[in-house]
Amino acid sequence: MKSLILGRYFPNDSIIHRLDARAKLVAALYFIGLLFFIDHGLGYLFVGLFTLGVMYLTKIRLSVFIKGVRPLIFLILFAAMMRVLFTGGGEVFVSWGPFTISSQGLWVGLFTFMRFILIIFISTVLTLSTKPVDLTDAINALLKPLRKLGVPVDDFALMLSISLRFIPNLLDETQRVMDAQRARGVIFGEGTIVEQMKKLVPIVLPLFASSLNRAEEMADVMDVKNYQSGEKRTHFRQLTWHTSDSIALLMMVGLTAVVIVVNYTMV
Amino acid sequence: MTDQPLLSVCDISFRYDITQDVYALSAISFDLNRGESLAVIGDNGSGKSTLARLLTGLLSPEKGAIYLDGVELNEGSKKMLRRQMGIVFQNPDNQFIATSVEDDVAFGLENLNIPYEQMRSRVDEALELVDMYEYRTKDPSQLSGGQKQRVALAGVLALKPELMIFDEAFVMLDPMSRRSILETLRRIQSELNVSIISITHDRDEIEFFDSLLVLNQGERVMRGKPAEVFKQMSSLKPPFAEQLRRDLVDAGMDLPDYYMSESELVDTLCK
Amino acid sequence: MQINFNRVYADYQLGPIRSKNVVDGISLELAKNTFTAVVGHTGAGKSSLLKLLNGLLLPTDGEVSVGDLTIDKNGKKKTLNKVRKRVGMVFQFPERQLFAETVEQDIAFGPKNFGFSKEEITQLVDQSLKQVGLTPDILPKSPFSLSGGQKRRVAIAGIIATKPDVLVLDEPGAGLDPEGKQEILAMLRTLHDTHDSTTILVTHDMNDVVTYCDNVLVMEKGQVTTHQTVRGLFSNQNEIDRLGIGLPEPLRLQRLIEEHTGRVFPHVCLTQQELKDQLLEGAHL
Repeated sequence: MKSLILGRYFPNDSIIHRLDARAKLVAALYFIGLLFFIDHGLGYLFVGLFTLGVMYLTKIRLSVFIKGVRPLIFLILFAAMMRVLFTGGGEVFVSWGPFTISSQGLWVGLFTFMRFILIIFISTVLTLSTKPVDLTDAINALLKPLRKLGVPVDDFALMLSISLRFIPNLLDETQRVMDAQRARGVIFGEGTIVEQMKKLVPIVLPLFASSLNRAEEMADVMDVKNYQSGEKRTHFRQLTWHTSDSIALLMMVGLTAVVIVVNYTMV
Repeated sequence: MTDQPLLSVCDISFRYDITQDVYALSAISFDLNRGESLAVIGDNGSGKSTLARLLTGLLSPEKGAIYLDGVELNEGSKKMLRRQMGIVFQNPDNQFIATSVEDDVAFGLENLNIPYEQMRSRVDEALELVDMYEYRTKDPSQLSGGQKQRVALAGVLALKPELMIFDEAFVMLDPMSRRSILETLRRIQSELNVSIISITHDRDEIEFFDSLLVLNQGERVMRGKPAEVFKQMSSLKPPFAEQLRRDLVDAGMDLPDYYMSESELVDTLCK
Repeated sequence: MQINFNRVYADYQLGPIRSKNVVDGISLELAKNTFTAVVGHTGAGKSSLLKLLNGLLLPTDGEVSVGDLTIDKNGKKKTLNKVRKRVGMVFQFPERQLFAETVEQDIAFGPKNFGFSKEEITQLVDQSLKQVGLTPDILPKSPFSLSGGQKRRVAIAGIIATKPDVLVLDEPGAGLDPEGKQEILAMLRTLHDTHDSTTILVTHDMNDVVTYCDNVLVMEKGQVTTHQTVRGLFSNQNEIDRLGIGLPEPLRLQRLIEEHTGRVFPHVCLTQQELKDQLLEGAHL
């Protein structure tokens, strides 16, 4: 849990942190989509440099991003390997049964590898530089049109933000119950699988009881404060769009242009 | 404004299980005037928390009725009447809905569809009242229990209520934070002339209130000013100053033999 | 059992968040059979201090010893479990750790983990139930069906059932009504006196400190700012102001009267009885 970087917020004061969450979310999603249209090494070089530039602007150390990739590196290498082995074309170096290693295959493998790494880097930029609650607001804002179709967008957003809000409490509670049972002589991480499963009961049951209790009390509070699902409500948290946000989106357009040019001219 | 009381509780009864003859509250009546503060005291199982849930419409009485400003509290009027009252519950953690202090204070206002500009000023005002303005961007994990209860209080104040209810809201706090939040509350009450009901088992809270309602096993034992209540009910454990006064009288000191608040006792002793 | 802290440092870790030196070089000695209050503001490091006592938190430097057992940064599981058997720990709101189907099973959980025999366990359950003031008819009930005060007692019974030499209590009366709280604390004091145990009580309520404790230890920012007798601490108003701690009710009233008259009482009153006596002697006149 300690090593998981993707999905965590890293407070800092940078130009990227200050961007509007909606702009960042749209740009990140667009960027990821764009990655799938690049079919030339030069294109990857461009977006790769762009990504590094964005990472630099967050003022967060490179090692943090690398750490974010680490837990997934084997999966990525495996996927890239598969592409290498199953793609033919160009000069064939090795051929063994259904597997071939060809120049075309090596390029495709490299592209796959780059694509994954860049997806992780850019998502990490998004979550490291955006407060979870701002991200929730952004999702809420972007899903707004669905409200007309009867989708409970506000409920969904509130649910998401309450869950985020209670993660520290849940961690805390888990730690407390574990400590309490340890103090009563439970030794975790010892014994057979069945024994270990049994040891979970004294943790899970109290956690379950307290979570239920918490949910009930919160429902009361929301009820008394007149929260009603599906009712129109105003928002205290305001997302504000700055010129820099428009510029960020314009850069995406620029990047698209570069990709198109590279794709068509460098065949 | 008329002379009618702000809140009228008329003969309400409630039981959690209607197949059984155990009443959590039976035939409770009382009035509360504008600007008056009332402490509801009683031990665990006296029905005092049930009363809080009935007053806020989380439960409906089986018999009897509750009137706020002359309007009966029921499913239809609940939403409208809740604009005039707010409640702070016991557990500081479980009533903090939002991810930051100011968002949490705004939560009730958002539900009332109040425009942003007005929300902003009401939230700031409420936070100033409870001395939490500097903490407005903090998240709940950065606050102590007492500070969280102040935020909950601000959330209620932002609604500009006529009635504030506290359901054992201060019992989980340490004595110092409890005293200081009660002092804040007293100041706010005199500034805004709002009515307060505090449900509590803390005897030392009592001196902050105009009158007391004593419940025992779901029944009303008595209602009156602290002096009257402690004079008539010798079995009820009084606040510390009154305990001491009784002790001193028993030991033969020349003190008047009626209930005294802390400041009265100090004044009398120092004459 | 004697407890020693020898220049102990510790960090606090919750999920991904780590706070450095929440315990910042503490050395202290808690003598055998003492009843010590630990006071300090939220975040002063009280809970970390408690956790160090039974190896739920390991020091990053220095060592903690409980009797002849010592915990340092490489605390071995075997030693830790021995320490935990010695040190009974009643957490805040201990009823939140109840989980078993019956009260009996829940109380027996600790003794079972620490390897007591079946016969011993039955006896320990009965004994601890009596000590917390409950009757055996509660044993087959589900702990979740009990009232708040009963749950608290059952949880405490589950801790004292392992016969600890050291009892650590983190606000055992929190959230209970005044009578319930007094009963629990009085019961814990009796237990301390009859079993020659060493007791440590974390509390915010100075009335508890003066009523039940012999010594007091004040914490601030991970350090122990003072460790002395209860009377010693409250006799020194300057120190109380400096440490920012509250006063017990009798002393608070005494100070109010003194402020009013401008005359200082000859003695510091920690209990209602003392204040009454002083007033009868005319200390305020």
